[in-house]
Amino acid sequence: MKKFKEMTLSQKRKLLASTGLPMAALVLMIGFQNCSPGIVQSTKLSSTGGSSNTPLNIDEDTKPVTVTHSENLLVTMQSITGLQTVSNNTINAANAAKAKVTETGKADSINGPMWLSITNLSGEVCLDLINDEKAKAQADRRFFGQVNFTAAPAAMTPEIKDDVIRRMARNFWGRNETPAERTVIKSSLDAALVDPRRTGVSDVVETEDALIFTCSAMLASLDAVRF
Amino acid sequence: MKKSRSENENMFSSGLKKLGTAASAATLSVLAVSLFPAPYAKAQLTPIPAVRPDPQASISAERQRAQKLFQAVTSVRIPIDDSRLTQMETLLKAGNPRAAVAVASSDPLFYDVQIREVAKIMSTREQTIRAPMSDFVATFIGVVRDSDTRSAKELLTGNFTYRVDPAVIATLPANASIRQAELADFIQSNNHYNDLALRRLSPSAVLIPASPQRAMQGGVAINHPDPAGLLTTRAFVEAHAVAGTNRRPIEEMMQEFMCVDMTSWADGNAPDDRVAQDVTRTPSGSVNLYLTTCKTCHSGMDGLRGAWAFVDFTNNAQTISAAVLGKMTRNQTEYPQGYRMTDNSWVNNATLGKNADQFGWRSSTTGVGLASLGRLVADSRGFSRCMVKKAFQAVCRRTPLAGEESLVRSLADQFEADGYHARRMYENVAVNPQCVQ
Repeated sequence: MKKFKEMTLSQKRKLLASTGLPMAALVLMIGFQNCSPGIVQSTKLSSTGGSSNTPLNIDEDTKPVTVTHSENLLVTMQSITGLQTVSNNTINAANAAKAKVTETGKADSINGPMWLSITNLSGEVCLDLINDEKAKAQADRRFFGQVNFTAAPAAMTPEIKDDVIRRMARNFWGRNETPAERTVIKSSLDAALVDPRRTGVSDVVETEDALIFTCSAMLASLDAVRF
Repeated sequence: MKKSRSENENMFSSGLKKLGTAASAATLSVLAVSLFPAPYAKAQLTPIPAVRPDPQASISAERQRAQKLFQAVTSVRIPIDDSRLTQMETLLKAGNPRAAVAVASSDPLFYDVQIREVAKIMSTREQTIRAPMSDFVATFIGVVRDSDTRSAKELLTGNFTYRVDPAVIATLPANASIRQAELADFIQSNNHYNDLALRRLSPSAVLIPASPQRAMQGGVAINHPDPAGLLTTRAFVEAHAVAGTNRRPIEEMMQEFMCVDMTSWADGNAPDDRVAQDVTRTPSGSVNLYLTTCKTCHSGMDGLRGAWAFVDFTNNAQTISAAVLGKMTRNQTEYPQGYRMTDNSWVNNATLGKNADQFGWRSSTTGVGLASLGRLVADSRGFSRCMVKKAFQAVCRRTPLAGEESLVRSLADQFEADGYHARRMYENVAVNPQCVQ
């Protein structure tokens, strides 16, 4: 199997669809659990689902739920990953995504093709991020300081995975991950990369793919792109 | 810096006048480069700090609030451990939300993303954020960036457009340059601004004002004889004054700068003495139909469209005619007794009933040409309210509710009291508790 960066666009899509998308969908559901069905979110309902005794006024007691739209999607991903420059592949993916990503950002304009495009773009951004981090000394890395890029994914201990997930959650989601989210991400990652190893794929590629999987799933989740 | 930018503009303007109407693109480039030395001599991208997350740090409610405010103001999320948010957090804890919001509004992302998107939606007929970068968008960004020295009223009265600083262009590699020939890349195409977007430069860092506005007359580039800010940018004229009867520029001007669509300012009681000859008075054989439908829109629209009597978009350029254009008097046999345009005078017929309040006119109800039309709109209360509504829509991610009209009017009052300071107006919108929750 080829390295991720050597794959064609359709091959990348297949990989991301088979790995990142289920997790993105999962995080999407987690992110939406506090939302009402429309384009507004209650400001009175607590996150645990409880409600006050005061009747809900749809105008006064709700706020709009919107997401990053087609024109600021890439700059938002650059901002939360801290990448000043991105590759041409990423720019091309962002341009290709524009036609499929919501123009208004309203929650009721979200659809499947849009999220496939966002996931595809997040894969490219994450590849840029990994290449950026790989080129640095471990102490200078912002996300993968404990990762050994020359070792197999099995070398990533649960503690290292926790650290990577925490760092990405803070930058991408603006909060720490919940224990449930951490468990889901780690178990999905383990399930996706379970033995047997892919034939002819080096440790380096396996580790990079594992990180791309985790990164793109978290970067393409609702909490990373919502307002 | 702001002062020097203004001085440079004046120098550029006087330099252009000395050059006369046939200044070549090459001469303009050399002149501009010589007039705009450092501090512009450096190409810049929108800065994206590489923020290192702090896995163990707690996240306060004020930090979360700061992130929401920053994203609302700039349209871009930044990491929770970003130093800009810690700065805003400190200000919020100190009970100074206004200063916290100012951290966001002074960030290049505010101009390069948020303001760019507001301007893009206003710039074309399709009203989409997918509109291209253009002289309209660049000028809007420039005026907001230069709020300390420029009133937002200049959006409709200014005799300038913003362009990429030639000194910045001089630093770009040959294979990644920005085209800047006056005729080929400014007046007859959008090449200059397409390149700005393609090179992904930060508009707020590289744009400078260039005055006067330029257009074509008789196949020659001239100083625009009747400039009206964004109304006489190439993008606006291309979008609305191409072909047709130049009624659309009026409709779009009201839509984009008064936030009122045609049906909302239609008035059956307004005088129809300016309704042109091409409008039948007996649609389907019914005079009554004309009086109750056609006239309601045409009385206001046709009264003002005289301002556009000489302006067209042909051969990919804004062209200024020396006489009333044929498209302004076409189909004259439809109703020969109707108004026949003979000059570029206009009459404001949208002054009665609901229009008196929703527009809040403060200028003369008659005028000549586009510059006075731009002044009419810029002076009105409707313009201030509309700018607030657009800021509200962008920052709060929703249109103001019916019950928030008093809030809009209050913010518009403050906008005017602040001397039409656009950036401060966005800050006032953002700190409002009804906006970012």
